Amino acid sequence: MNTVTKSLTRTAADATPATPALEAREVEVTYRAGAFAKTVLKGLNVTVNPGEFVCIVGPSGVGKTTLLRCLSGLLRPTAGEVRVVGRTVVAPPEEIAVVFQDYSRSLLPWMNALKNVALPLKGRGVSKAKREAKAREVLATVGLSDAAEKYPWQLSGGMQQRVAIARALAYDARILVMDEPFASVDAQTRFELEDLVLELRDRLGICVVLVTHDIDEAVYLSDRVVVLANSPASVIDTVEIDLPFPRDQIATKSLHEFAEFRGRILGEILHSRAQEK
Amino acid sequence: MKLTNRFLGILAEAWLPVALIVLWWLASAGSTSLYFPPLAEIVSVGVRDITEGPLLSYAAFSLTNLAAGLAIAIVVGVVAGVILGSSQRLRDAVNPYLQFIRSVPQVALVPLIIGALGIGALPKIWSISFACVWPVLLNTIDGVKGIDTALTDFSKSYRLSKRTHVLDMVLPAALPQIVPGVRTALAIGVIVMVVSEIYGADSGLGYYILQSGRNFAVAETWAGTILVGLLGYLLSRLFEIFEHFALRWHRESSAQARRG
Amino acid sequence: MFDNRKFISQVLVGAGLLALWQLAAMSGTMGRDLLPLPLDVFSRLIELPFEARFWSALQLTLASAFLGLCIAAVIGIPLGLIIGANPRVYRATRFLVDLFRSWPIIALMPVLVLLFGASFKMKLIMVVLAALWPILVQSIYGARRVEPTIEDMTLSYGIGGRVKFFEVALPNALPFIMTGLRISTALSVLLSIGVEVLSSVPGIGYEIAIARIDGASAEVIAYVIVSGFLGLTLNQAFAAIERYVLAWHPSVRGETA
Ligand SMILES: Nc1ncnc2c1ncn2[C@@H]1O[C@H](COP(=O)(O)OP(=O)(O)OP(=O)(O)O)[C@@H](O)[C@H]1O
Ligand SMILES: [Mg+2]
Repeated sequence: MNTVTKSLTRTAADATPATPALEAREVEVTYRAGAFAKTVLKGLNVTVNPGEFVCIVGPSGVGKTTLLRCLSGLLRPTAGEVRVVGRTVVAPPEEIAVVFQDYSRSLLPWMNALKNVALPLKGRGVSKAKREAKAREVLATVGLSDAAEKYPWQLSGGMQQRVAIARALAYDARILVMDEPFASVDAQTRFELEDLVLELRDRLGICVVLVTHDIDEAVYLSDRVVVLANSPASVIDTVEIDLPFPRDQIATKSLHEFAEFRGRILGEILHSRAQEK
Repeated sequence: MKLTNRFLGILAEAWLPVALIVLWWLASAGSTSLYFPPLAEIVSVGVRDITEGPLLSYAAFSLTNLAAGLAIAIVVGVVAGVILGSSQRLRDAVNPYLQFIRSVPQVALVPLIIGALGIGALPKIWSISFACVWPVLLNTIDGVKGIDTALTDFSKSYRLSKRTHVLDMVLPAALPQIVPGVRTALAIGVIVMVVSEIYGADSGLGYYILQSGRNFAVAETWAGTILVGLLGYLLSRLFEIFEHFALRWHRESSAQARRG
Repeated sequence: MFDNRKFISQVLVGAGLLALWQLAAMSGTMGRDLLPLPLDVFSRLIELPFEARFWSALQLTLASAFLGLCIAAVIGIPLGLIIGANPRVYRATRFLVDLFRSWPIIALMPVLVLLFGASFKMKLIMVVLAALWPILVQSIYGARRVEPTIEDMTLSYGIGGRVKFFEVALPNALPFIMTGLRISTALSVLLSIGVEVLSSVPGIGYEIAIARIDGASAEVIAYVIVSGFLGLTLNQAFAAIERYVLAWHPSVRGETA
């Protein structure tokens, strides 16, 4: 497995975080359909500092995707606010790139990988030569130099997700928001992609917010894990993961502390489940 | 609150059509143009010819032909479709001819049929049924062809009679494909109906439009044209309702087949 | 792969149909007027390509159908995408679109003959009026069927305006637009020939009508067969274009893979 060197940016950010990169304040979301209304999130607070890797975990249907859509400006909270580097978010901000849960649908099947990656740049009016050069560069970063001319449906699931990540990188976002990005790839690919994202965070100094079902994955990747539970959902715990960097799929996961973090988070989720019943 | 929502919904869909009609009415009010008479005149002429004139009997003539032609097409198309759909060999043998004949633009045959058989109702019914049979036939073949082999196996193992097999298994299972075929046939049938009446007739809506046009009775021409359009719309809406029920019957019957 | 038995059965069916035709024509039960001898029809079919009149008729029918289809597409596709992308406009126009899509446009012909005379222009306008609706309806449908994930993606990556229209909305709706175009192709040939039959505007349909009046039933059938080949050829050509344009689409991928 790849190993990952500890980021300098992260150490700097550890000191006194001046302005959080991303912040949810007392966010509340209510879905309405006619007479039917359901409050999914209530009084929810999350802070992500520059350079930080934060994972959000919680049981299925708790509202993780809903929270991510709020954080990325795709959904306006019913109450409360979301701030990106201090600005209140009213529309999807430039600093954020989203990698969607359903990669097979978020890549456009009528464009090859290169065009898919270059599309956001085209939207910004970057010249063809420049955007293709950039797209090739980021495709190389995610290890897909050879697949630039391939169409998404000619690529494996893991490769498709790499293209989606490359697209986010091409957008030059400071914040990467990912919704269960590795949920539908096989275990081996999943480990590779996890290490890829850790490495990218280090190399580019970006911050990453990642939603996952998988507690192992959350602990392995994060500086901090935010645990959501209850209905309407709120943050029941925030766990600082002070495991050493670089992380390693085998060494890190066999640490005694790893098991402790894992047990603690799992216990909290199961406990909240039990209370609901 | 529900009522106001519903009202707003209707308003959102109705304001533009209503506005256009009002606009047409006002813009054409004082019109002396030969080609664009006032809408008021078109409406009054239309109402006059429906209540006192021949329009109602013309419409009845047209619609009876359409119904008869369509009925023949459905019967022939479904029966032939079930036969062809159940036999791969038969299908292979006739397929090239079928593909060709269904590509013939249906109106090309109108002069032949009406020219040879005269201007009465019967040639029109033939024209319509000849035009309408192909979409029904092809869709039925597709529907029957696509039936799960489990259904056929079921019929065989329970020794259902051929008749029960076709009526209770094959037809309901193919219905979701037959119905859209009939819908296409209906649209083509209306076109052929009008064409056949413009080509040669002494009755019918197409005849009315043609005659009034030749006599430069432009308001009548417009009235007839609008009436045909509204009829086309009405028929397709009625078919939608029928489709809804036909397929519900299908759902229930297949549920019953599963239970039974 | 050549399937011998299939081919033989097809030849047999063809021969059977011919024999039936020959017998029916000879017996005269249906009248020579309606049913000429097969041999007469085939000899006419062989003669036709040597006549300038035939080529000019074919060309005129094709021209009005093709030009009408193109004009309908140029109007219908952008208009449909705009209507479909905008829920307010969609609701306001829904009734009108429903009304005109089921309107038998051929009934407008007498009015148009009054306005424009029995001319190529009139025929063209008829074709456009008829071919427009399937294209419009399918474009609206295609524009309304955007994957929510794709919608989110364009929002999140700030893709809008022209790029969104040409790179996302248009290709996304393309499978539906192609369906509309396919229906409209058949309709535009149907309308061209229909108008020619009814209004003595030159073209294949006109040749059919004239031959009919002259009592030349072999010629009528020969031209009907020509119109069938025309329809078949356009169908096949369209299918080829569709496969090429939608090479990325699962339905096409599935077929070729
Ligand atoms: N557009 C919507 N309208 C109404 N209810 C919704 C909508 N989207 C989500 N919900 C509901 O809100 C709740 C939270 O949904 P959400 O998708 O955020 O959960 P999640 O934690 O991402 O689940 P999963 O782990 O399965 O992806 C669910 O109960 C869901 O049914
Ligand atoms: Mg989710």
